[in-house]
Amino acid sequence: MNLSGNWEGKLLDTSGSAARVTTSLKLLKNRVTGDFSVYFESARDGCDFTGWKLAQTAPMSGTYTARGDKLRLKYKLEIGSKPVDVVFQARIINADPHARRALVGSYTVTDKEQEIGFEGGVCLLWLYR
Amino acid sequence: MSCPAQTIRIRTRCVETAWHGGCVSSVRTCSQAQIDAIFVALDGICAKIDSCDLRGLNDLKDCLRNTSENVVWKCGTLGDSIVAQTSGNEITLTPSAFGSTTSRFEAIVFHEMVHACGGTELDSEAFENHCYRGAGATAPTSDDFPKFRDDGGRWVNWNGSTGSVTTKDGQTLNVNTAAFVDPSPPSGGGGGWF
Repeated sequence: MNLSGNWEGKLLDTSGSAARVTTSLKLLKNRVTGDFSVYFESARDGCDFTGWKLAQTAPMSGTYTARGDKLRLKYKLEIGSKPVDVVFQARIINADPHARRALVGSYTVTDKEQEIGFEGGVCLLWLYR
Repeated sequence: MSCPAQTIRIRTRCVETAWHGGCVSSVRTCSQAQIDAIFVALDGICAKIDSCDLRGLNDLKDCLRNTSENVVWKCGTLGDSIVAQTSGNEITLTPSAFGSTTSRFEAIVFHEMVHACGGTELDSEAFENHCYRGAGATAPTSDDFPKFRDDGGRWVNWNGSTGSVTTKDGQTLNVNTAAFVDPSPPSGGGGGWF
C-alpha cells in the first residue's frame, strides 16, 4: 500500500473549522516524511467564494503502521515553538473514477497544550494521477 | 484560436442604472481569484486535449480549443446541488465548483465545455470520465441516465447493459464501465402481461 504522493482534500475539525489540506508524503519502510499545508477560504460571504488562503504549512515526520486497508499515521507537525503530535487513522480505498486512491479517516491532536486551532476531526484526502 | 486562452470573457452585472434605464456601472460576476482559477483550469484542459486519447473527433477538439476563449464565464449560484451549468455559450460556475479540488474543478470545466460544443450529457460524462479518470472525474448520477437514454450522444454510443462507451468511430473510451451501467433500463418490448 503505497502512500507516497501528493494528496489533496478537506478536513472538518471539532472546533468548527473546515479547511482544504494538501500533503506530500514519502514513505520509506515504516517511516513517513513530507509536508502539510492547510488553507482556509479567504472569504465566503453568501455566494461570493474568493479563493483559498494558505493558513499554515509545516514539515511532518512520523511512523506508519498498516493492517489490511487500515492505516495509522503517527507524526509530528513542526508548528510553533515545539512539534505537535497528531495521530491520523484512516482507510485507504480505491476512488475510481474520481481519483486513484482516497484516504478516509479521523485525526487526533494529542498535544492539547499547543494552540494550533485544531482539536481533531475527520479528513478525506485524494491521490490524483 | 489560442489554447490556452490568453483572454476570457466574464459576464458582468449592472450595479447602477441611469434615469433612462441604461447601465452606467457594472461589475464582473467572478472575483479575480475565480478568474485565476478558470485560467489554471483552461491551461490544464488544453494540455489534456492533446494528451487524452481522443482519436478523430477533430471537430470536438477544435471546438474545445476555441471554447476556452469564446465562452462567456459567469460565477454565481444555481439550484439544488448543481455545481455548474451551460446555456448556449455561457458557462456558470458556482462557489461549490470553485471550492472543489483543483483536479475536480478542471474536470467540471471540461465537462461544461463539451456541452458548450454541443455535446449531450452522455458526451460530457463520457469524455470527462475518459480524460479525467482518476484525476477529478465523478461517475454519472441517477439524474444522468434518463438523459443518456433520451438524448444519446453526439460523439459517443453507450451500451447501458455493459456500461461500455465508444466513439461513433468505434474507439472504446476508458471509463469505469460499472459506473455507466444503466441502473433502471427500460423494460423490453412485448407489451403488458395480459
